[in-house]
Amino acid sequence: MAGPSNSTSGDAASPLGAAARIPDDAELFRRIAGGDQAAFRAIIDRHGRYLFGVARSLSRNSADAEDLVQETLVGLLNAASAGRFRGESSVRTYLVSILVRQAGMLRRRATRRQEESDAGEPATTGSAQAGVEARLDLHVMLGALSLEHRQVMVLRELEGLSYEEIAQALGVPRGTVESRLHRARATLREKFGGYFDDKDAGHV
Amino acid sequence: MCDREHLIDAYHDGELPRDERAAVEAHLSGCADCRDALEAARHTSRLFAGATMPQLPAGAVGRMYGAWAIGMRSARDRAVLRIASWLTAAAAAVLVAGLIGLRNAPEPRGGSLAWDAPVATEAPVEATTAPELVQVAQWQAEDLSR
Repeated sequence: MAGPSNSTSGDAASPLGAAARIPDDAELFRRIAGGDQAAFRAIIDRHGRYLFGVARSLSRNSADAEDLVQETLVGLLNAASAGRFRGESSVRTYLVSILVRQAGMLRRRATRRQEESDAGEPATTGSAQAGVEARLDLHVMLGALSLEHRQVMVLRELEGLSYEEIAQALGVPRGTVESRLHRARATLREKFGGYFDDKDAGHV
Repeated sequence: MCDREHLIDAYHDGELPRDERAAVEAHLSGCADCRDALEAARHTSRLFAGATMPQLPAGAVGRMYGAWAIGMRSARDRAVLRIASWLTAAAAAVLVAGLIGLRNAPEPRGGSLAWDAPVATEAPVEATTAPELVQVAQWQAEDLSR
């Protein structure tokens, strides 16, 4: 199961066998394609929490978010075995693109059983609700938007994709990306205008 | 609301070509609505940049690791399916080839078996049947190997 490039054979303690050098994402991805489970775990250790955070902001509750991450990771394995990732973006951005697309598919499949909301879960982990510090929880912010608007905001604001790249990732025309971004920002401005005025006024 | 406000997002995101960019900048100095929209877009970006992420639920990393087994299983299932379809196509081809061979085989001398006697005695029929069988075998093979 171990990758072919495990050079330091004496180093049994390191799962990747390369204590001296930390492999970058692209290398881990290549190892995954070669059937290296440790490389897969390393990608999760590196990006799992971020992926869950983004998934949480696109889902109704934690359980759905975990399902979404799970499907994304399976999608990564499929892409690796089919040689579909060619390194044109970062592995993280690639993962988020899969995740955002999966969110759309998952919702279409599960609209029926998503009636139960997660009202019992704490909405934030920080002090966003206090209104003193203008740091909002990602899923509180995105929770104000439709899924289509959340998708474009994640790809633009978190991953910094260009309009063209977002259009490709979502399979929609570029003009649709522009109008969704515009409307999403207008909604956020309406809902969180207080945060804008309180905190950031002044520095442009 | 200004009719150029829709350009502000593209301006903010660095998605405008140079000439349009210059035009928007010139417009901004005289349009309060567009300045507000730009300010809002910048604030939104700052809010996203500073947004907090939730903690992972207990055991979540272990469940993520579990995706490996699911991925391997689905890869194996796909491989098995592919091999099964090749094998079926090959079996169909062998079966048809065998049938043709049987029909073309020379009639055994004396005491011919009852089941091949009628076919072996009707030479003109086998001449027309064999190419059709080959065609059917090809279609079948193509269909199954897809």
